[in-house]
Amino acid sequence: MSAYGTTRHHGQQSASTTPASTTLFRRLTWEGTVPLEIRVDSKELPANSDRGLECYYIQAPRVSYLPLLMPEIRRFLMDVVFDEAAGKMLKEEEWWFESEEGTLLKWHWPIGLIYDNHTISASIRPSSQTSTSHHNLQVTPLKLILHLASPPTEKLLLSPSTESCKQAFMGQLKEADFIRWGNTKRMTGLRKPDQDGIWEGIKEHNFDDYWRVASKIVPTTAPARSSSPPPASSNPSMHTRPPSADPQSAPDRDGAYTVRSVPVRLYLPDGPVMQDVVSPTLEDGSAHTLAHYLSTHLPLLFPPAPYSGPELAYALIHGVLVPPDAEMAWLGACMAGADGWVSVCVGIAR
Amino acid sequence: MTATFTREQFEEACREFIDAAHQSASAYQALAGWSWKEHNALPGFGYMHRMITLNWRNLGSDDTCLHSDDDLEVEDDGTTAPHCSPDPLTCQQYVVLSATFCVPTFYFSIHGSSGSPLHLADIMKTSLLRKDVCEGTVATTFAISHPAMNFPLLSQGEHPTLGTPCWYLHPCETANAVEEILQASEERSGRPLTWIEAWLSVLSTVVDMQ
Repeated sequence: MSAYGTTRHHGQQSASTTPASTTLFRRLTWEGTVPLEIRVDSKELPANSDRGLECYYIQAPRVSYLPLLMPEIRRFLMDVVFDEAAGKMLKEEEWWFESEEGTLLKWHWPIGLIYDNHTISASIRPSSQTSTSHHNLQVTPLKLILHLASPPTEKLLLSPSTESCKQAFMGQLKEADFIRWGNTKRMTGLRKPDQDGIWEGIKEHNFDDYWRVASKIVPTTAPARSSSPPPASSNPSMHTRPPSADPQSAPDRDGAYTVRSVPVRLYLPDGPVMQDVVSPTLEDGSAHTLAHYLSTHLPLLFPPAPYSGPELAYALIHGVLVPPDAEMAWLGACMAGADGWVSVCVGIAR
Repeated sequence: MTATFTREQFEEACREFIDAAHQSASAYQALAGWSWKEHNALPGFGYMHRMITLNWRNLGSDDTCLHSDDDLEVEDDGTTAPHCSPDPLTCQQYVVLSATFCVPTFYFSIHGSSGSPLHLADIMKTSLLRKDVCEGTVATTFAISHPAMNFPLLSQGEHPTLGTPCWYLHPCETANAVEEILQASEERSGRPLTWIEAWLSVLSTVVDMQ
């Protein structure tokens, strides 16, 4: 890690230059998990397997991917469900997941996104029995059916392997880099050990390993920004430098508010993923807020001010109801997914 | 200068191309058979589509049996054997706007007679990709990559509007080449090329569009 006070190069940060609040939100985002209940389709259990034990429960990291869970699921199935002969026939490249309602799950989506998207879709089904108030979003396990063969290739991307998952993940990081700066120099400037290392951080679910590399490419909010609370002054060198003289808090050419666009995607319960330019500041110089973003893109669901009618819809990021005055640039620095993208899931209020 | 497209500009460029292709009744098959499609509920997700028939490459050097689905006459240069493979392949082709790179991107899927989508190894045996494109590349089950390139040449992705699994050519490199072609076409007499026509001719160095 670079020492405090050295010239910043392509966004390299040390722990003392990233505001504590930024690190806090990044850690909270990283450590978010969702409960999954995975059950093999009973029609696919071999004759001599133990049917009473075919459910596997896992508290999965939101930032991880279904193919990364497969080794663990496989060990469970080998230990508990399949005998040795049947186990040898397991081919993970043919596995696919389905929700109880028959929705195919996309292995290239982060698990947290799958979970939120599913929870929202389930809550608006007419037969839904979930609480009518979205403020009461209950955290229930996402029940998945695991199929071991015959993936529906007309509807799902092929090859849910760790390797293809890694390539898809790196592709998303590069696109996010491009969105922010108009080029992918920060990503291509990473040495191979770093490129591999950031994926290892995902595979091993290690926050420090991931951010050791990610801090070189993800912009941060500068300490002097009014939108973040002042960092805990435990670092003695920070006392001696007034903020205005501090090079790290000067308009930061690599900062969250100088990107040309924040990488954001908008997910409705059904329908294509929406992605557009999201500038950090608006034409009048004010910060681009979540409220402005939503009312620009979905004015029927998020009517622009002044609006005093009932709430029609809500937005979740990593399962959290984010306040409407949250700034898009701040979200890009503090609550992006591990793939670099801020994924906003829109639900319909009931 | 690299051209980028807003959604409105992309739709306009595609419609201009489709109109020009109809009017000129061009013999170039690359221009034929395209139509504009929209998402059934949301504006701004339109794209171009056409369906063509492909054959396996090893049926006889570069011979392909190619029909567009609106029965335009195939240019017959007299060397193409009239017979087709007993097992013709259906290729859905799409021109989609990349939301990240803001340029048109070529997506496709190929289906056998049973309706199943082809795996990448089989796609490489069809006549779709030009033979020299794969030189120096590494193929996995999910992508074709060149070591020197930042992004894979060809990889899987979901169609941005339909959500169906497709293969797509990474759009990064094409826009600059298109500008050169447009400038060259301006210096010639006759109708100037539309941006999409120029883009398709760049694409045809990689994909057999005829």
